[in-house]
Amino acid sequence: MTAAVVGASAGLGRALAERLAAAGHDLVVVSSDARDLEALASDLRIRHGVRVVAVPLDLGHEAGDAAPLERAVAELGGLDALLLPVGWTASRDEVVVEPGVPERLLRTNFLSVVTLVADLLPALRARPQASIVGFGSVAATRGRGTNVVYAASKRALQTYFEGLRHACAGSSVSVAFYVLGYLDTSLAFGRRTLLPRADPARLAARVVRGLGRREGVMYHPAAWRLVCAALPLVPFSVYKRLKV
Amino acid sequence: MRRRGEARLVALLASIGAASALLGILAFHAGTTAQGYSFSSRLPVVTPATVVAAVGLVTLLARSGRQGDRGELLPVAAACFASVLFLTNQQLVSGRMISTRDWERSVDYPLVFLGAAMTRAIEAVEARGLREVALLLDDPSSTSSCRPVSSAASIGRSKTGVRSSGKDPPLMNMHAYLQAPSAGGGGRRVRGLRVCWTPDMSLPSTTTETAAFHSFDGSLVERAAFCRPDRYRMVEAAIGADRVIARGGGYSYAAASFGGGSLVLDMTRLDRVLRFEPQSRLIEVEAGMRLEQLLALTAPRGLILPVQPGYPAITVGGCVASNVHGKNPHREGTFRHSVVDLTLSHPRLGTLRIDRSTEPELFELTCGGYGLTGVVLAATLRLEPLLGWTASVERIPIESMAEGLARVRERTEGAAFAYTWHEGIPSAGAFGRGLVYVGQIAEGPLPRERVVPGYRRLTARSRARLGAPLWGRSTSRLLGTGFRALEGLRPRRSEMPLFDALFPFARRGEYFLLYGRRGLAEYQSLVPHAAAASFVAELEREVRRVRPPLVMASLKLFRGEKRFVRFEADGVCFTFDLVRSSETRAFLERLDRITLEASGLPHIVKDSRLPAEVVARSYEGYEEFRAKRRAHDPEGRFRSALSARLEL
Repeated sequence: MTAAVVGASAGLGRALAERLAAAGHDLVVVSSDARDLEALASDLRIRHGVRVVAVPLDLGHEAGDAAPLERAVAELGGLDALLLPVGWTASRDEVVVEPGVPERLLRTNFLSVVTLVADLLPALRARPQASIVGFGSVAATRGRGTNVVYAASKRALQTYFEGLRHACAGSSVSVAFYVLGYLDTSLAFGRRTLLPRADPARLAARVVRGLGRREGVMYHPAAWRLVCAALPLVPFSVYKRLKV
Repeated sequence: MRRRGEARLVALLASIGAASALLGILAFHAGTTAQGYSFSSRLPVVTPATVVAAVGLVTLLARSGRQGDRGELLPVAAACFASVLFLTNQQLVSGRMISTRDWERSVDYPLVFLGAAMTRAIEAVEARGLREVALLLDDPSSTSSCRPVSSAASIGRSKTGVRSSGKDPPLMNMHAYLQAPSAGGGGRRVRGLRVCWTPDMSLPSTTTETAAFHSFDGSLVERAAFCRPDRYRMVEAAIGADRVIARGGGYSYAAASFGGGSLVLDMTRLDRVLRFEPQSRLIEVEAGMRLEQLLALTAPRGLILPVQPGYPAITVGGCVASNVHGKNPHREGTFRHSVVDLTLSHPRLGTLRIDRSTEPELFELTCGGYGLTGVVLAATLRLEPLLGWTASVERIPIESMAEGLARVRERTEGAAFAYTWHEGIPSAGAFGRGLVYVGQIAEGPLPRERVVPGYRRLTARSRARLGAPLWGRSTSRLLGTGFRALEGLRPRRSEMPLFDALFPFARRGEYFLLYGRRGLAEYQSLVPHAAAASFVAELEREVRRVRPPLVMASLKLFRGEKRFVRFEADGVCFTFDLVRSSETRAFLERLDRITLEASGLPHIVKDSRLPAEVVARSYEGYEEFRAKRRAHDPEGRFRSALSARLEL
């Protein structure tokens, strides 16, 4: 099997890439950090003996020239799984924003995913069985005064994945979407978190196990499903007082 | 936090156990009414247990009243005492009395004991609170308004330990030193502990958290800001801080990877393999890679890093910074001999790739430079062939340290390793009875998988989780005799997996655990061959005179070239493990003196007490190192508690 991991240089992306390589799958790894990407690629090749092609791509700034990615997929002879653990948060993401920040947030978290899926869907459809996995955030459940644009972009992503699943229903492509709570990665580092941070390696194991088998919306850690179900039921008069 | 969670769980289980025992006994007594265990009475009873329980209860209540303490253990301890008082006199209410003698023995004594143990644990938490001391800061820039928090227990329990009345608090670094810092900040004595702080410092746009960092010997705890870079650009951003120090596994005894007001760079996420050339026996890895990861990667391919320090979770970056040695420094030298080149990141010079030919001075300065020349990002290491995965170990009993020295000198040549173990407490006739271990790697199959067996990784923090030390003079004597007897029962020559021979303490972590929170003191002294015999004689005299709680001693041969402040020379390397106490301090000061007299080197990363003056007198390259490092890093940006103490 060949998989592409977008946002692979660190955190969940690196955990997924390691898990997939350990299972013997060839990989295309994509990230904006070219040096880290090269280090990761050599690490995976040496440790696991799989073929890894590194594609440096700055997802936050350009609409994305898909040509190098398509070349990499062709080099490995096709694509069976597309995993998109891309995400970026700004340290100050409030209603009043610095110029450029909302665009970058939307581009990294949402538009890049939409573009990449559109580019790679033909390659995935050519396979007897393929999967696309997206990653959302519990922050999208209900908007708050912090991480405003990030939450909005993740909500957009969740809706997009619902649409994608609808479009792919009955085809060979299965679509899964994981709504994530806090993970022990740089994204949550330095923040006060409501619940303990989950180990990205365990999530990666769960995602790789579920490839092609599980569809729809999953929560990780699973306890968030309850929180996310309950939170929309809280009346706004009460919700506005919750400062978590 | 986890430790307190565990304590609460233990207390909960213990009280459930006590309650069920109570119910069981009650049921038993109810069933044996006919035998006279139970009779009608409403007389009050005063027994030794009720007296102790009453005293304990009053103490606890007074404590909680005085300090407003609501620790998790306190109500449980109070409940133990209260239940003794109430249950022994329950006949006042029920009118049915149970034989006081049996009741006292089977119920009251265990409960009183449990309550007393928990009271002791509460006091231990208080002591810990003092060590992880926090200061209420009204204005971080003014030392006059700093004051110690009045209730030590409240510090022990507070999650962050740092509070500020300021609205958007700037980053604060506060240190609880057991010894006076040499520079910067203010200081004050709190119940025998010196508490000091450095003023606010500027940080780059790096996300940080604060945590308490422990030195492995348990002598020093400091709360400091840290970041955990997982990309190169995060490292580059972080080293823009005013003061910074890289941290690997955190196993240095002497706080080499935190302190001195520095931002701590946790390098463990940078642990990738960059290059591996089995034919030329070279591997390039990032600094955060742990030795066990490296071993798991290279051993199945018939290669091994020749220098393996004693714990598998130590990182390559830490090995470079401390220029560590392995089991046989006489044969393979120190870590720098295995280093081919280094990638070093420095805020002024950028990212450099240095080796012996391009930057000989900086290379030598960095190997054994305690992280003060920059952040080591990666290292290319030279491996050697691995013939098999079994170590054949021979044990030779010895009656004295002098005999051990002679044996090691005979056997080191041609062995994979040869070192001794000596009991620490001398008996009437003998000093340093023990064993010589001589090991060979037997040719055989290489490991396929599970190179690293499961073991519970000890950290500097988890090492200190036992409140009271078990080791003392009598227990270390017992340990010495017992261990010698046990080893005597085993065959003279036996085989073990190489992992266990390389890392004897990985699966015997309890040894370090039993030193408790107060910690251990390790001292290592590298003495020239000519002075070794007189060093042993002098040592024996001091051990008999000062009577330190010396748990064990060990020696091995060393070969190397003295330069700068790295622990390396030709000679005999002596290691001592002691329980931390006042005699220990006096003894270590004597050891400094006899090491100096023997023209030996005291090991810098093993001893958190070692004064700058001793280092300056014993290491000939001390001044040269200082001068060259100043020239390389004029702002003194890289700094740790160790470098501050030694004025490096």
